[in-house]
Amino acid sequence: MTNTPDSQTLHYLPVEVSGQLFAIPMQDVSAVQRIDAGTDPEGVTPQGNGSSALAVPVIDLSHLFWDRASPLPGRHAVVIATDVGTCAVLVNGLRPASTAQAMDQSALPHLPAFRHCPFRGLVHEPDALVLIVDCRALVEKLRRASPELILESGHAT
Amino acid sequence: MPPDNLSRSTQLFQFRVPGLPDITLALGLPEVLEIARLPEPTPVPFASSFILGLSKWRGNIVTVLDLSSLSGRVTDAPGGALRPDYDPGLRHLVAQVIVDTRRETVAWPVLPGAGSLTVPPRVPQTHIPPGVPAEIVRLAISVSNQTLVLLNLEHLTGGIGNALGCGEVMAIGHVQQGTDKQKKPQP
Repeated sequence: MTNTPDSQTLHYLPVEVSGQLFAIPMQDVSAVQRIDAGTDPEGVTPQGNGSSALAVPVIDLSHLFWDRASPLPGRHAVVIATDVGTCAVLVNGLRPASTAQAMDQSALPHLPAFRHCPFRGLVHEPDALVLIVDCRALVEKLRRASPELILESGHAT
Repeated sequence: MPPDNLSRSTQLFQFRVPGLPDITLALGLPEVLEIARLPEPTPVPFASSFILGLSKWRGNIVTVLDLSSLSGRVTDAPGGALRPDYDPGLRHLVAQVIVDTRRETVAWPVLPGAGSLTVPPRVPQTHIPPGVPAEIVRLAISVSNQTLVLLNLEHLTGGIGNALGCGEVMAIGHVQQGTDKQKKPQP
């Protein structure tokens, strides 16, 4: 985890996960796909079918962060692509992309309790503190837990 | 911080916390910055279970702790979420601690009745009450027939700060990379 936001200006996609906002840096957002009503994402795409489109595993962030899941229809899958791999995270809601200047950002406290958290700082929104997702750290963390959840970076481009 | 043997008169700040209402805890008075109301903490997934979240105090980020979770008496909410019984109406004790030569600010909710007291020299030491981990205790003393547990903040925020791992995670499906269904939002 990096404790200091690595850019002065952060362009980010605010996503809502079980009622809490998180900021995904736009540089890591490859695509967003809405999960339609009646769609069973398990059957959306055959994996490794040889077509030009690649199937990206979807991980429910509600389950990952809070150990609880929500109904799928109406939610969005955000495809995050980093130099260490690609995955898609399911979120409950999206807000319009936004920008935070350096003065609106803070580093996480330097406590061991945060050392392995996949966040690299905070955005000060008027009504909340929003954790900035360290997508590289998140992908690495998921890869360590379940390698099959991550597309290797060479396949994601 | 107070000397470990309290060989002279010492000023402490005593308090109790939700979940451990029968144990009186204390810090050296210089470690206490303020008793204040804080915005509801923002939970941090994967942080240690004794972290309630992050909040703001006087424009700075503070780490809000759940001292009662250290006793094992209270079941933690999964994934670092705010406990269902978190009371936003309680005030917080804001304290400073040095971690790896950096000054950090931490806070935790306290029950009404917190305040300072002066402890005379050479008060008798006593046993640490059951349920309080010894590694976070600097000293347990008996003052006016009451046990007072002096906390060791450095150990509280450092030594037991092991983060949770990433447990078993499963994909719930797949989306296609590179189809016209997808679009990248514009900033």
